Parts: sequence; C-alpha cells; structure tokens
Amino acid sequence: MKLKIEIASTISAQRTFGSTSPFDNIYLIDSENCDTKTPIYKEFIPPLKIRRLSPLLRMSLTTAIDCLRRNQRDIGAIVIGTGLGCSRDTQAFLQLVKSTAGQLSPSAFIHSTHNTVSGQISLFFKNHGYNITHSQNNLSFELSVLDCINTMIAEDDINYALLGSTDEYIPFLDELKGIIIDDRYPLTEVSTTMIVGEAQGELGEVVIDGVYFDYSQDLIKDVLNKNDVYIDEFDIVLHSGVDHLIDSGENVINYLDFCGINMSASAFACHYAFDLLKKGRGTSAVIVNNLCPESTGIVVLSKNV
Amino acid sequence: MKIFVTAAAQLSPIGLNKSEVKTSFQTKTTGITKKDYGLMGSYYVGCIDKSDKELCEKYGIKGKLSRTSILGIAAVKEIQTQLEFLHTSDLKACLINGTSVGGMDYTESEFFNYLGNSSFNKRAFINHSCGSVTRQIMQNTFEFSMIDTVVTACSSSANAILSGANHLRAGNFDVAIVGGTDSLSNFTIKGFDSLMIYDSELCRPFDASRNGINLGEGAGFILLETERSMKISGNYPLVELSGWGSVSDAFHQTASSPEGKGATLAMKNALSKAGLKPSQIDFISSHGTATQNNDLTESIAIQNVFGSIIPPFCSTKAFTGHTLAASSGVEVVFSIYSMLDGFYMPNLGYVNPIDETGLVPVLDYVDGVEIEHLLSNAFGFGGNNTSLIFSKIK
Repeated sequence: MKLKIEIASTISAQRTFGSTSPFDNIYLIDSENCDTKTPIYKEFIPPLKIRRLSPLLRMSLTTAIDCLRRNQRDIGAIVIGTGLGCSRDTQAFLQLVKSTAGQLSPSAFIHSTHNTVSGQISLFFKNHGYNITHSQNNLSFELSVLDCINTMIAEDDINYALLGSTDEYIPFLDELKGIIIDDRYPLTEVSTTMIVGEAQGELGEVVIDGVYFDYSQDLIKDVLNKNDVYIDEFDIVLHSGVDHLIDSGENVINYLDFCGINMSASAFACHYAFDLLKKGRGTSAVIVNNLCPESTGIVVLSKNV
Repeated sequence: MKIFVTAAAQLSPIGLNKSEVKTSFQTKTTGITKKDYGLMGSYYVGCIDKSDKELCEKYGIKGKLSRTSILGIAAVKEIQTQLEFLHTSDLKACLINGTSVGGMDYTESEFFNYLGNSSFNKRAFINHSCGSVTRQIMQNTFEFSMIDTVVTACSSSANAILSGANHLRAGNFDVAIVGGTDSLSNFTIKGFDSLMIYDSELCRPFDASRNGINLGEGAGFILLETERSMKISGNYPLVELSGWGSVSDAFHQTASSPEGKGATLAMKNALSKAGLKPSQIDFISSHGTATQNNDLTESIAIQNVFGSIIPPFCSTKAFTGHTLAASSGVEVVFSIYSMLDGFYMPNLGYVNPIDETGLVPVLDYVDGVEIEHLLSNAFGFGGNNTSLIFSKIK
C-alpha cells in the first residue's frame, strides 16, 4: 500500500508554520539563529491548557490542530514518532527528585512519558482510535510511516491517520555535543504532522511509495542499492549529510542545514519533499536519514502525474 | 493470516522460567519485598534476584549497559535457540520492544551528578533513549531486518505485540520478536509516589482496600510466526494470537474514564478480531494495577463486555509488582504458561470486593483446567488501552 499525504504542518527553526509556501524562503541556520519559530499558540490551544504544556506538547498539538482545521478528515489512527520524547518534563522531574525532600508535584512526571504527545492529541479531539508512539532514535518518523501503512492494511475501517514526529531541545543536550551528538549543526526542535490516507492514484497526489531500514556499517550508496533505491533516478534528494556520495545540484539538499539536528529532522524533510513535489520541482524524491550511525532510514516519495 | 506464538520467555521477580513462576503461583509467594531504593528510602518493589553482573555472566553480555537492556537481552536470548533457523533461511525477522523510560536506571545517576555540578560520564547517555535499549538487544542477539521501540507507557509491550502481528499480516517480515523490558529507577518510583498511587504496603489488586501500585522490573518476549514461516523454522505453535484491539480512552492523561470506555472498546475490538463471543473467553489476565482508578474502571469495563457472567480473572501484579512497559510482555508469557499447563493464576492480596462492582478474582492456584481462549489487558498513561486474545491450538 502507498500512503497519500493530504496535508502537512511543521513548526521548526524555519518559518514553516502557517504559510502556504512553508519552504520557499528557508535559509541556512546557525547557532545564532536556530530558535523555534513558534506560532501564537492561543489561536490553537485554550490559554489555560497552554500553561500546562511543554514546548514539545504545544508544538505537536498545534501542528495536529492545524492539519485537522485545514482538512477535516475522520482520523482512525494517531501515530507519532519521537526520538527522545518529553525531554523537558523528564528533566524537570529529575531535578525535583534530586532537589526536593518529601512529596513532589506530579505535573512534570505526568507529562514525561513519550506517548503524552499522541495522548494529548487524542484527548483534544476526543479521538478513540488507534494511538501509538514509536521511539527509535533518528528512525522514529520512518517507523511511524510504516505503522500507518500496516494499520490501514490491517483495519478496513481506518482510512485516514494523523502521522507525525516531534522532538524538543533542552540545554543539557549541548553537554553531549561532540561526544554522542554531531556538533556540526545547531541543536533544534521540530514538530511535523500530516494527514495520510491510502493513495487513490489521483492526478497530482503526492504519495509515500515505501520506507526502508538498514543497520549495517555499509556505505550509504550500498545501503540504497541493497534496497533497489538508486539516487540518480530521483528528481529530489534530501539527505542528512551524505552529500559526498551524491552529485551536487539544487535538488540535492542536506536538510540538516535548514532544520538543524533533532531526532525528528527527517519528518521536516518529508514535509519539505511533499512541498517541493506539490510545487512541481520534480516527480520523485528520496529522503536518506542516517543521522545516527548504523541507522539508516529511506523514504521514497512520488507525485502522480 | 493466522499469527502463532512459537516461543516465549520472561524474567520477572517470581522467576526466570516456567517452573519457578509456577511454583510462585502454587505457593502464592510474591516476588515483592521492601527494599531501600536509591535516593528514595524504603519501598515495596519487585526485584529479580540476580545482579547485573550475574545476569551478564549468565547471558554472555559484555560492557556496561542499563539494566533495562540487560533484562531485554536476557529474555530474547532465552528464546534464541528457536531463532537458529534465521541463520540458514532467508526469512526476515523484526524486533519490536516496548519500554517506558529506556536506560533511565543507568543515566539518572549520571544526570544527578550533572545537577550536582560533579563530573559525569557523558558517554553513558548513549544508553538513555528507549531506542538505544532496543538497539542493544539487537547488538547482543540477532541481526534483525528492522527494529522498533513502542512507547505507550504501561501498554507498550502489548502494542509491540500488536505491531508485530500487523507486520506479519502486511508481509513486511516473516517472524517477529515482540515484547518489552523495563527496570526500576528513582524516576519512576518517585513519579508514581508523587501521584500518590504508590502503596506503602504490598499492593492488593481488585481489593476494596487497594491503595496503589508497587513497581517491579522484568522483561517478556514472544516469537510470532505464520504457518509459512513455521514450515521453514520447524517451530511448533504454542498458542495462536487470535485477537487484538487498541484504542484511546481520550479521557485524561493519567486516569481512566469512569465508564471504562477505552478498556471496553479494546476488549470488544479484540473479541471481534478473534471472531469470538464474550462467553468463549475462559480467563482474563487483567491489567489490575491495584490503583483505585484502574481496578474500578477495569472491573466496570469487564462487566460492560461480559455482563453478569464474568470469566475467571486475576492480576499478577501482586506477585511481580507493576513492571510498567514490560508488564504485558511478562503477563502474556505467564498466560501462555497457564494455557499450556492448564492452570488458573491466582490474584494475591484480595480480601473484599470493590463495592461498586463486587467482582471476585481467582484467589488460589487451580490445576487441571482448560483455557481455550484467554484475554490479556494492558492500559497505559495517555489513555492507551490494548487487549490481546490468545487461543489454544486445536
């Protein structure tokens, strides 16, 4: 089964949110300009609720609301990826544990589990459908894509899913730069949410044709070829810093230059590819995500023309 | 396509194999004891009676890993002999692991050092993420075609099982190792304590006086196969995974709806998928955490689905403690033991029924029973409700 992307919404270090051309004016980011460009949240979330939500939850709930406001589908599944989950609430509760004697406030703990994101979305929309969270480091988004495909194959009554991936920045991550986190790009945060459904073969629709995984130490080129994915055949190539393997050109894009580093960066890239294909920059795209060593995810997209 | 379980293994506070677990059930001996835990003082916790060092020696695990990873590796290694066929066939295998806080047991102490302005081991945080636990299980067991970590709090391993079934049905993989692992941490103990749902006494599922959970550690994994893969593997089916349902309660982040809507829907969906009537369920392995909220709403949901004729049911949480993301994996393995050997698992700690529902769980180990269809429940924060049905091979 192929997945049609109906609509997508992204909050990131770029001004991607609330624009009909979210990627037209993106620019190279650096450590001086990598803060999240947040919308006015109270336009989406009741103010009383906003106070209780971390930036991650605000971002992810807002992109979900934005998708469903613009495209009112009957959502049968909510499938969310996150590499590190609710890091800010986790850190906040650990600080309480370390510093406070006696009874602790449970607020941060309540919101610390990774599936708070998918849970809050279901709660907001009173959605009783399938609800799941995948957390496999840099491949959390790709695994969520695969789950949407599986779920629509398995469940006849699920026609549309809310698919997303989100990760947030906490200053502690800077401590790990150059040790276990690549220090060539700024650390950032992103939330991308999409409405996906089974591809109908309609003219102009953008579909995810397939998703592939590899955990070997093989060269990226060999990993792609193993999965019958040949870079030269794609109009658009989005990658996480493997450009030495690919001829350069305006349609060969290192998305980390624009998104920065976070475990959901490939979801940003997927929205970017969706936008480029919609606008006719080509009819095929591939996203190569090897942000973490020996963990490659490949997403293949095309436009039906 | 039918999905079969061809191997099962667990490590829990009541044993590392079927014989030890069965003895605990027969003698109604809990694995929960009062211990000083880390920064927190004394708590009733379910601990596996083996140190990290002992487990690493027993299972040939090298390097410093989180206990969550060690338990997960050990459980998968317990069924590795049934995976030998993967080395000589072109069958594709995936690993789907449920865990709630990943390597927190290891990294929290380093984070406390960081907070205290002491030197800390930055490399230790390679063990922190939930995904790193699954990665380490792969690195220590088998080169899987795909690995995935499901994090839906206390229903994580139930959803890992469901995901594995969907992968086989979609034809993505031929076999799937599915389940979950979690260990104890200051973070989780103090977290449930902050919610004021950590019982300072031994937990008492479905009892009127229940006052919260005790936490435990554990890991439970099963091997899912199809008829086609079993022809190649030569493995025999233990039970069939015949039904599953997973829904959102959409009521509250940490509490279940008073009418048990999500739990009711999950059980009904699982029955529908299995093509079974409620009257055909012979036993319910309940989630039964021993919190006021869970046990009441789960009881109501059971009554919603089964009416006045409630199948025998139990919660094993008073034996093991709540092993969080691992709980469904561990309890599914217990359930498979009970189906294969024909016994009812007892429910420790129960004295009086919950006023509103009056349900009475199985109180003693009962031998010589036939369990053709068993329903297993797992519910988590975020309103995540999952039910699985296992059926005996005819």
